Amino acid sequence: MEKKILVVDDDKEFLEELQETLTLSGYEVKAISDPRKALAVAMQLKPDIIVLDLKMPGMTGFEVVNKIKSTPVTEHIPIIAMSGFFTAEQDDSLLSFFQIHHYLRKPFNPLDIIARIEEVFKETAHKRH
Amino acid sequence: MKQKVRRQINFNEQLRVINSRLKQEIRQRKKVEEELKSAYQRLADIIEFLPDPVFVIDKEKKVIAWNKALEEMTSVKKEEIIGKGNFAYAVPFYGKARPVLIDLIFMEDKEVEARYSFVRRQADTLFAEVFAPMVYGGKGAFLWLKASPLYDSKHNIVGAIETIRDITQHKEAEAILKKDKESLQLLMKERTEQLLKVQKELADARHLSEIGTLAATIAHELRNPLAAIRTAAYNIGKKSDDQRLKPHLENIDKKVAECDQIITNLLNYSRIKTPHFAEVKIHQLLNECIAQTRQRYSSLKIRLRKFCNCKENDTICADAVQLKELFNNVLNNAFEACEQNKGSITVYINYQPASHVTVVIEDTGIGIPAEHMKHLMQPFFTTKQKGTGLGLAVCQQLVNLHQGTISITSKVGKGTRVTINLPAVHDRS
Ligand SMILES: Nc1ncnc2c1ncn2[C@@H]1O[C@H](COP(=O)(O)OP(=O)(O)OP(=O)(O)O)[C@@H](O)[C@H]1O
Ligand SMILES: [Mg+2]
Repeated sequence: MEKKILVVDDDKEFLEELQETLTLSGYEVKAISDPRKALAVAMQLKPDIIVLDLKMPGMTGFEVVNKIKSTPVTEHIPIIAMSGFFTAEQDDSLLSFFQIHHYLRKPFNPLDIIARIEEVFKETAHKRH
Repeated sequence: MKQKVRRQINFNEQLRVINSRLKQEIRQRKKVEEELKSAYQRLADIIEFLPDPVFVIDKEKKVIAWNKALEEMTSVKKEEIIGKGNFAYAVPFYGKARPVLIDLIFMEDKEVEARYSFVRRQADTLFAEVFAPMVYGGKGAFLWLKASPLYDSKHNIVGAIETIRDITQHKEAEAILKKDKESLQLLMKERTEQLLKVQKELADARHLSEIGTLAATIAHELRNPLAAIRTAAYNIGKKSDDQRLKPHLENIDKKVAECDQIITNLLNYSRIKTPHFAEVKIHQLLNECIAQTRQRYSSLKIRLRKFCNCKENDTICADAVQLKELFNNVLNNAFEACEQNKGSITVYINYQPASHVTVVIEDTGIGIPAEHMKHLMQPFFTTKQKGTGLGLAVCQQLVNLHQGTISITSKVGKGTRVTINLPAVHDRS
């Protein structure tokens, strides 16, 4: 079965392109641009991974993360965060506090996100065995 | 006989008249003499008790009057000096018998005049100012002098009189006033300079915080579209088998990365904040920076040597992230300076436990023209095509935050030396 990925980002064109990249890599991708809908979609879709932008209007990525991590049906879903603002080293502690698995700073090389996703899947596969 | 007697009587009478006339004359003379004497005495008394020191000389330049006030000023009694000539009157003032102001009444003498702060002539009177070192028992005083000739009824000069006034207090007050004025001016100048400096710093700070806010905004706003562009380029490459597209897509990717680098620099500049002080292994940190920079410029094949007097585990109190940024920037500049002439870089670490560490980063690169020196630390000053000109501005700020110093010396064509001094300890409150 194809792995399902939920992508949340308010930049519509980026969302389109990233959806295409991930689809081309063989995943089933659901893309949404409204962070307020993220939790509802996640609960319904139960994706294997959530890729989300940390800084969006209306609701920050951290709020979305918080909601997902505090909802029983979604709390176990690994999260890969993206942002043009934070640098990984500086916000390491913040990221681990929110249980974010990986962080990518925009504009990242698309190969990097594919690599991260593969890593996460490998980790979860390990855990299951 | 009778006639003889009469003549005799007549003669006697005449004699008596003459005698009485004579007596009268003598009496009158005595009276005039006395009057003269008392007039002279009165004059002498007036001179004697004048509040200002005064002395009088005659035509032969012998002292004929020396008043009480002058006795007090010079400690020379009138008995000791009256009747003396040969410029004896100069001694109690200057310690030497020589012509003084009063002598200028009788003759001109430029040399004598030159001894006074000034000599002014008004009709036949001379005014002058001088410092007399011997008066008041050697204490000395600033004197204001006035010398005038004395005439007889036929207007012949028969002598001269000199009046003296002690103006030391006035002079001192004047000096204090002058000093006050000068120190006031100095203070004003200092304050103005301080103000200007603070104003400039404020302007700079405002400039910086504006840059900071701007940078943060740009960073986020620009990185999103850049992310879209990069991903789109990737997707095109994935979807098309057309090999001719490849170099173009690669160019897009490269340029996006470049834009990203510029944003990073801007962000780093804006993100400078209070250091998070901790014990930092300075040698190890520098090694990491060197390794990073070497890798970044691996294509350049530049020789880098390091001289260090500290151990791997020696620490200073600093913000590790900020120090890395600091050394990376300086090392980047050094490598970039050597790009063309394939120069070499030398790093010196002088570690003084519990005191400070001095890091010198020296290159034999292109060097810096003298006229650029004062601009190096200014934000956005760059001579490089791809530079942001923020490198050294950041360094300066980071060094300031660490209460250290950074200085640069350079010679065009010879190379550049950057010296960074950082205190080893910090009050962590
Ligand atoms: N080691 C050096 N040798 C020669 N010139 C230097 C050196 N270091 C600095 N400079 C001069 O100082 C300028 C300012 O340096 P700075 O690091 O602030 O900015 P930059 O290097 O131009 O840009 P950036 O650091 O943002 O890439 C440089 O452009 C260069 O002209
Ligand atoms: Mg630089």
